[in-house]
Amino acid sequence: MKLRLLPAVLFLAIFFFLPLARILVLSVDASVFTAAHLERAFFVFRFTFYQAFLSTLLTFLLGLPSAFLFARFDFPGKSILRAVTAVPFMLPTVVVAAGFNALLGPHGWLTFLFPQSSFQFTGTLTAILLAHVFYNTTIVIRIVGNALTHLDPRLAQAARVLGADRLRVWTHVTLPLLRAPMLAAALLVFLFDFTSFGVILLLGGPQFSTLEVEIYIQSLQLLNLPMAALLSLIQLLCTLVFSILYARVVERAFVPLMPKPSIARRPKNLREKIFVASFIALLASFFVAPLLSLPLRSVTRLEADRGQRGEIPYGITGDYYSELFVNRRNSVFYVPPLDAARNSLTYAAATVALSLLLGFPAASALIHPNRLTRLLDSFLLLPLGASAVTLGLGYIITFNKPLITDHWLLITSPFIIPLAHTIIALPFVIRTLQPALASIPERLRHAAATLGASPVRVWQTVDLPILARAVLSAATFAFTVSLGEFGAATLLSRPDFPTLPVAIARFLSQPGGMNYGQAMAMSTILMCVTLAGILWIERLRLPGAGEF
Amino acid sequence: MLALKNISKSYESNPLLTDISFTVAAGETVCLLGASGSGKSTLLRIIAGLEAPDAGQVCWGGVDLAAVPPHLRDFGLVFQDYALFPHLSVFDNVAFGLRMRSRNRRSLATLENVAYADEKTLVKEMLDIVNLRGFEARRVTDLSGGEQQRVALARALAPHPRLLMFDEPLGALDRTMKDDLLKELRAILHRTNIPAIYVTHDQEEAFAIADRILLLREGVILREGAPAEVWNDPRSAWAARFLGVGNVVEGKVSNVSGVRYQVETNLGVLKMQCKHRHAVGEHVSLLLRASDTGMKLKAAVEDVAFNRDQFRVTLRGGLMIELERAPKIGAEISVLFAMECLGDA
Repeated sequence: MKLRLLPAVLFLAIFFFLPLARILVLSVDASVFTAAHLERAFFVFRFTFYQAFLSTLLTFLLGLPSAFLFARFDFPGKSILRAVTAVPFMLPTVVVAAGFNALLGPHGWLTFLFPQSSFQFTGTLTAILLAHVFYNTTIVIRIVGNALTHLDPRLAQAARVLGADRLRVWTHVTLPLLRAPMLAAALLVFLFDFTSFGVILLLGGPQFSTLEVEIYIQSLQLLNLPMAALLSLIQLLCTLVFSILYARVVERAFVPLMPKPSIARRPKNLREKIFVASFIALLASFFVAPLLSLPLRSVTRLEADRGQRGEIPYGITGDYYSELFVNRRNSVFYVPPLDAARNSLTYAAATVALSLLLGFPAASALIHPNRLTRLLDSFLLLPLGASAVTLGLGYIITFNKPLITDHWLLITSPFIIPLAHTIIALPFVIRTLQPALASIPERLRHAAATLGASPVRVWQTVDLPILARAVLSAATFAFTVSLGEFGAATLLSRPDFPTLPVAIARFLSQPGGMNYGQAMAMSTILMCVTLAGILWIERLRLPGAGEF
Repeated sequence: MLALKNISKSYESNPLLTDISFTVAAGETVCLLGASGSGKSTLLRIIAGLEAPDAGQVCWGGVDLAAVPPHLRDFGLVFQDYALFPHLSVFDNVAFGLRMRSRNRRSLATLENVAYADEKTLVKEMLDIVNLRGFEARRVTDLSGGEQQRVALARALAPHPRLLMFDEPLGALDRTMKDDLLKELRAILHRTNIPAIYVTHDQEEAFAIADRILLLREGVILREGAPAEVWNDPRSAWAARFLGVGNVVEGKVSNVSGVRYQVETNLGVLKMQCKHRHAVGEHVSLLLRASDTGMKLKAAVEDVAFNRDQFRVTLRGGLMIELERAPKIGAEISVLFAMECLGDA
């Protein structure tokens, strides 16, 4: 066993598998299995499944034609539009929720522009579904679009010459060849919709209880930890099943396709032009509108502040931002937004440090895999499938006992959040570092050495430049993941130490124009920081390195 | 049967095919021979209906096919890298055309009616023809290159198309496999009597399979004729070089008297008669082939390489000949060359 793997494996054992095991133990408690509990659990499970199914369906409705658009046609601004569709996937859920709120919510642009309309958005299933489509369309575009791009056009031509008309080329050749990628994309989208938390809590509200939301409500509001554990168990089993199914589809069912140069071309006839133009317009407006209405709303006053009387001064304002720096109320649990931001930055920095410290040795141990490390490799990736809320619940159950001294509780210490975030970020960090470490061929070092470089010089000139990019990229990734993470933070953050997303959610739920405005302002800042992080990672990506 | 009339096609304003006309008669195998980029694959795709020509017509039995989509043309096309359907078994690949066409036939009475025996028997028969008996249930992705090409051939043959087209079908195979398949292909084409167009860049393949060769250069038909005709009289320096006929030597006309010319070359001044009219100072290409009669040339042996049952001998000055026995390198030998003029260099 390679010792360098040990820290990461130990860390995972204590902060991932132990909490899960505790959930397991708690959930098999006989007292959980009452008729009422089971009925509730089944009800929640059914709704979770239902909304995930609907969301997946709608995501495909938008995603399949979009995948076709990107794979088959060239048009100006194509790479920008593709990037725009991919952005939501990386954004924190609070930002997306705030964006849709700013566009369609009761204090948003739509209500302002059409005050008479009875359109209700927040608190509806529509809101949840829309946000899920917004999040996951890029998965369909990427997986199915990729397969479409690499589909040998000669297969379709062969079918044509053999007597198949255009329709039957689709039904007999193209669709069967796309079946595996479509299934893979569907499973992945479904998995994300199934475990979605922030979007449902913030846009749907507690009446739409999915497993995630119900775990949160049962553990924090009803303090029914055994019930929460039971729900977590169901959640874990479901994600496990979907992950296994996904892995099988990816591994086995993919028909080996010869990579081919792109067959994208400009639209030729009128029908194609109408399709391309209308989908560009649809995608652009669907993906840009929420992201744009958020920053716009954060600098525009549309309604009265709380307690404000008389004429409302509509218009551009910087108040929501300047207000972030002022501590208005001195209530016990009020935390100035600035403090929340400072908390988040501290947690994110700790997450970066911890995940690099654990991830770097692990990644370097995984370069030359043997059977054991290969097993450990997939073991290290397991947290990818677990939901953040379940993780949070596991921590609450596991670490609520005094640990080192009689008084010190890990669960109430500020350390708990970086620990959870490290569990979430670690798989990404290892996956980023490992290929970079592996990409430095021994021959390169030998070449440099025979050219007269000392070992130190070799390290400086060969290893460092390549590694520096990967480390920076991994660090940025861990940073943005921690900064935007909502599920675990909601369960674990102390009221007086909220993170930025938790504070945003709190502001969103409070009445008054000023609170709403501040939520918008903070979301905008979070969005900009995350976008900067995404761009930074994109720029750091080594040419030719895989996506994930 | 098939007639191409003045086909032209350009790609991004570069002419790809210029004014191509030829016919394919019943049972005839026509070979389009040309270097890559000469437009031969595009021509096949135009005949198949997968691309439209900028000008000209593709006719069958005197009827223009412009309005007939590819799936109703009833042609077969075999691709270079086979383009087998990776999601289907060998059986389903071969049966694909049968299934598609039987549906087309139900809705369209325009095509001549071929009575289809039941699918199973027909597929079996096709697999027998291409020597793949018992391969029905195999996955096409598990087959070797040669086996895949046989499946591709069976797939194209199964619906009894009225024309078969081959786009560099043996390009990806090794020599032995190529020779075997070529022999089988000849036999199959002969037996089925289906007219065929065979596209290749390999002159040996072309000579082996064609009833008639069309030499294509940069989208223009340069030479047309039976293999022996083309070989004996390539008519241009490019054709002679491309086909590997004898030695092409360039020179400058230095003296003219009637039909007798003197040409300065790097082999010395050569005297010859020519049917063309040349002026002094004109550059011409000459074709020199080893022969029983003709001009005697003496030269030292520079290199000897074994080539199948003969030796390929390179002489000083670059001339190449094939000899039954290997001479010593450095020895001076004399060879008789027949010489003809190929026109302007």
